Amino acid sequence: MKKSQSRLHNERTLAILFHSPTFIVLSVITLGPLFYALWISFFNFRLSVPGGQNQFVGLDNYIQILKTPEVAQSILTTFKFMLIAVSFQVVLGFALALAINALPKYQRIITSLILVPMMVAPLVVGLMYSFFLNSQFGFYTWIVNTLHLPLPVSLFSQPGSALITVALTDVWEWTPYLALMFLAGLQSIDTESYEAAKMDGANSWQIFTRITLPLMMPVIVVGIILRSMEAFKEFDKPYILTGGGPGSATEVIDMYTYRQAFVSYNFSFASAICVVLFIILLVCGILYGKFVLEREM
Amino acid sequence: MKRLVAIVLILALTVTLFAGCGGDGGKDSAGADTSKGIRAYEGVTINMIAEQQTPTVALSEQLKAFEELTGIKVNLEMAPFDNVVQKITLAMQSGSEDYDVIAVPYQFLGNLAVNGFIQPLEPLMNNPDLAVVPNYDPDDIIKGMWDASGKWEDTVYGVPANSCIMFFAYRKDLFENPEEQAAFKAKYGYDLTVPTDWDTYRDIAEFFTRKSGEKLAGETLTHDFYGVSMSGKRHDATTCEWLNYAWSFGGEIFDESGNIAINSEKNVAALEYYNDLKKFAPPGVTEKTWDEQTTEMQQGIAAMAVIFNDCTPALENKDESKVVGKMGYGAIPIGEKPAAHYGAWSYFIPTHSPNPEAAWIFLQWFNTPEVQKNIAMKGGFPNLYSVYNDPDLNQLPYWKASMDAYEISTTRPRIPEWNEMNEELMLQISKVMSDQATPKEALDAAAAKYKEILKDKLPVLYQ
Repeated sequence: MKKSQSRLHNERTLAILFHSPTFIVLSVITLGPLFYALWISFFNFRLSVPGGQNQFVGLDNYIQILKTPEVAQSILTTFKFMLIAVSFQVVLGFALALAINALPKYQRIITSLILVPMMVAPLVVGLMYSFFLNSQFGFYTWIVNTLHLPLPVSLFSQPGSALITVALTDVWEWTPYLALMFLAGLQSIDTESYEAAKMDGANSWQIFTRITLPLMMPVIVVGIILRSMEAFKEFDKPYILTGGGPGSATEVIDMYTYRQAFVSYNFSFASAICVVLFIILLVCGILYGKFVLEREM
Repeated sequence: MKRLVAIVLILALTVTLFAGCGGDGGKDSAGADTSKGIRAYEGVTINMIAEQQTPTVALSEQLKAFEELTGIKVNLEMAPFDNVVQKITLAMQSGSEDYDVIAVPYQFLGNLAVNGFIQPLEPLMNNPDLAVVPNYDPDDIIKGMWDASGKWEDTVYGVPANSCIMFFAYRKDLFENPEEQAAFKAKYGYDLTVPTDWDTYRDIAEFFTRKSGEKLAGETLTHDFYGVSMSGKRHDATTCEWLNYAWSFGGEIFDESGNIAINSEKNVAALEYYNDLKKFAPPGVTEKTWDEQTTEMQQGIAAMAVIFNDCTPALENKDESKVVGKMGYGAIPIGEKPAAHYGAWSYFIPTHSPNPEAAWIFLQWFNTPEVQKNIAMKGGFPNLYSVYNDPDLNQLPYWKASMDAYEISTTRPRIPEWNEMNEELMLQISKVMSDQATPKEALDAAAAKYKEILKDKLPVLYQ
């Protein structure tokens, strides 16, 4: 008894020892900056202003966030972007997954092909679309003009169409990801449930709504969580495509924060925004997690 | 206690040891053998950072010659605009010794000087031991450029580099076409000439805006054609272009007593004019920067533009432009006064540079006629009067107009807060161009923001 306990103890020490490099590295590269950001958010660290830096100002930066309507505005823009992008991705991704699932013969080749957009760096996606949609020389413009399609040409000139267009580039980039995830989910559903339903005379719509969808729900929720969190951090594509414009129509919160930090050099204010965003995401994460766990149970 | 003393001593020794290693490898600058003249700093490596653009590349191709002449190696790091500015700001803030020469846009001069990040050049300029570079003549540097790029409150901190200026580019072939001239006279009642005022500019813009299928200079158009090409993206290009209009209309950013004047009547009028002009420009103005303008002019779909002169070598490049030899260059139309927006970088020596002497030798060499001419031949613009008068360069179609523009150049404020103020201006103009705000509303909002940014710095009497 004693011997086994000491072995257990040894194993534990060993486990901790083996895991410690990961913990150390993780805390240095993730927790370190996090706490540093939290720390400087209570100061007035501004590189553009000579002298007078780094005085403790308490909650001033947080009060400033409430007083600055642009912050709330950008968060709202981010949520709009998220809503458009993620809802399209889920619907299209699911449709794509069903289609691929129905074509077992070509599954391999299709799944490899649709991976392509995901492998392109987001910045390159932005650049690609800025050429593709260029309102004079873009391929899209050429198609619209040649076929006389009733579509607008300069998509980034109006606030509404600009945000939707940027969100659609995200849909192009990330729909395959959800499709693959959903495909894996579909393939894990037991075929017996389908057979049983067919025996009972259910039509394909009934099978879809009563069996496929409910069984897929956990996968879909996880997909939504992952994509929403990613979409909340969107930066590259609007930065390249619109620079946040026209006006501030596509200025997502990460771009606003970036501007505060690296253009205006208001590091403390930018850090305070990051802390607020961290809290928002944390709350969202907890809510999502709860939802998923309850479903699972 | 003894042990503590020992530890402290060891620590102190270690620190001094490392501090010694951190120098330039024993080549103490103060102890350089000045009798060697230009080779006194042989073996020293100076680190430099600059924007990746045509003149910098042209400079990098000549660094070998500098090394052969002086024995000083230049380690030139090139990066895009935003990266350069960020890297330098962070390096300066942390007191880093990484750089001996930094290239920074001149509008950051106030920020760098007031913070004490860069060193005054006078001690180096007045040091006879360092006046070793043949053909360097400080009086040859164009004075206006040097003042704008390098001088802050009567102290010289840097030398100009990669300078450029905004001027007026137009399709000379169309302006000189007799059919077009006759049609213009019939419609507007006066002759079609290079516009010297904004009303004429607008008329010409309207006149040349045509649909696909209509005729232009006797030929049927296969694409739409536009009077002007302009920037309207939320981007530096837009504020740079609009400021020409504002200054020409008589507007200012600060009035004579140093108060915020961005929402003055004249500026509002200039923004109204600018916004109105977009109907004669290719659609999607709010997506355009100088890059798109250059492409539009190269593809020959617009008749006129107010652009930076460093875009023009691309218009005269027969590999990529359809309008080679068809372009004319001149002065921006004049409202109340002439305006030409000066854009340039400056080369500075950071306060914490380990090799300021070698860096100063490099800056002198950079301003010699041969180096400057090579840069100009590759599509850059020189700092020197003598190179401007060079017969080879005067054959370039955009040369004379550039020189004239430098004579009347206007500069952006160089105060530390300008970067943030410029961001706000980009946002507000972009709002106007996408019909989300009227010019008055937008500039009032900018003025309110400026007040918030500047706070107790007002009135701004030195910029």
